[in-house]
Amino acid sequence: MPDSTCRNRVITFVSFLTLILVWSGAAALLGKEIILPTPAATLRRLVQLMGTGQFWPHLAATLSRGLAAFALSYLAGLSVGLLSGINRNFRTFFHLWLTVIRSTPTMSLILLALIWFRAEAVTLFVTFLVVFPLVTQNVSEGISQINPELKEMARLYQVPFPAILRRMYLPAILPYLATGAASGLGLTWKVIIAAEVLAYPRLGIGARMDTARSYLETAEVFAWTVVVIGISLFFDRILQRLIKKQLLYWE
Amino acid sequence: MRKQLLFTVGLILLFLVASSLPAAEKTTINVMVLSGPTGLSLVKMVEEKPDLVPGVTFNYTVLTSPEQMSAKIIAGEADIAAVPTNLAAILYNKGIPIKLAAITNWGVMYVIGSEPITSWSDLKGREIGVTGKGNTPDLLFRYFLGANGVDPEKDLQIRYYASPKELANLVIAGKVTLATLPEPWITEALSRNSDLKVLLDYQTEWSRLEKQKEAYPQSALVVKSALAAANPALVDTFLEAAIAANNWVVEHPEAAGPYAEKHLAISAAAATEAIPRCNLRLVRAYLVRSEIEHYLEKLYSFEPQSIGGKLPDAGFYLSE
Repeated sequence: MPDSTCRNRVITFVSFLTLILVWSGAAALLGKEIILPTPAATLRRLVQLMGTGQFWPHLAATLSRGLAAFALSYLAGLSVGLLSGINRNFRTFFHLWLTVIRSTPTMSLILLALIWFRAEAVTLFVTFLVVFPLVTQNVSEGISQINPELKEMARLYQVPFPAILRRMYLPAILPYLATGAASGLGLTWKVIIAAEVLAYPRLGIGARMDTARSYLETAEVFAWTVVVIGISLFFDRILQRLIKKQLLYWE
Repeated sequence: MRKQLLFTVGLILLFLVASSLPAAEKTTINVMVLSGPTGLSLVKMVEEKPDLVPGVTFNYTVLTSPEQMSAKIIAGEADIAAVPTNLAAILYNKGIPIKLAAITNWGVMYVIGSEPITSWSDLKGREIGVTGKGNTPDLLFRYFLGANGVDPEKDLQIRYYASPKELANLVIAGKVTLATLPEPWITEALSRNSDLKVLLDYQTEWSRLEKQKEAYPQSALVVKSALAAANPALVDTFLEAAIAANNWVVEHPEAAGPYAEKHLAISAAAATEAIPRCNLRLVRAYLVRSEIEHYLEKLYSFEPQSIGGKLPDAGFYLSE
């Protein structure tokens, strides 16, 4: 086991190195920072950005916006998902809605939101509509995985509902909740940035990216992209940790 | 099957030969303008495609956004292009081989709305729509506010919009009651909503604050450095024709209207009415270098990145 982890680490490192090398090679070949900046130029710009007073407010704005939108979507997804899992009629009713929302292109949502709302609300609205169906589907799928005989047994023995929820539903849906959270949060950052680029809130990484693009500061666009990748990985790691702990607890 | 393949290959070869033939004996110069006021300066040339130099074809293309334009310039597809002056400086400072040949217009920005505003300080406590975050319309707007004792961060609400077209439509619909817009959107909005008035003028405010005779040189013509070096006579002929074409537009707004409608997606009536407010004056860049530098220095003081991080050196200006 330790041997294979060690080998995996080496492979990951080589993979990362190759990525940087290919990137550097392509940048050197093109020789135009305005089209493809080198990794070094991107890093330099990133460090420079962090030193300005502008960096942290933009980062904080996007972070708080993303987390708020995600929390909202997650809670809603959990409620609707639970209800659909428990009640068949509810599930059938909502199935159509969810299918429609999920099939709507993200760009349509953003464009419509731009007409209807102000910048702040646009990002929240769009993220909600993208992430909420994902969580809902995960939760209701989790519940549908529960053995029907188990359900029947609980009914026969008249187990009180809170106990059913805690002992039967929760363990069953927990892995689904976890994957829902991981993919939902990952998607949140992508959608938030897209919405920010088009909605131009006063503060926000997406808005800043668009300004950098208009100045042809490609290195800055890359630097902000690295920041978003960082955010995404950071939260993914945290979630993975939490999930492992929780799952162990439940097992 | 084989016959079909042979036929296809033959056809492709024929096309290749045919398409390469005229290119070998004729030079093509690609002129690209934007559908706003910069296109208005040259609209007569876009329409008439005059034979300026024997054996040289001028191809005119009208693009709709500065982003498309910078992509074409970076790719080297545009030989002569109309761009915002600060974008020309950014491109030059980023190592794109271009030269600033001429200024085409001297400011086309106004504040428009249905609220009772008569001075910049009246904007205190209002909400206003602005386009081009971080670019000339936004930077100058903040400058004028500051100079009139209005803090752009605290004293009013600035809402940013992606394009003048979008903002103009919201203004026309009455959803936004105050906005900064460039011509010809001002005229378009005025003609479609009678509650609207032109409230403030960027150009006169600039002249007043900067104690300049002229307003600011907002848009420019750039020429690919290689073309300017290889064929200065051709560039010169083109610029002479462009000056004449621009003067014609200024003197004959009515005749220019239909051309604008055909090529620039502005209605003929709106174009005719907008032309006097577009401050079209096509001047060779070296003649107004101090005005250009003054303008770029000012933009630099607001946001260095808006001119590419430094004042362009003498190599930026196309010499006589």
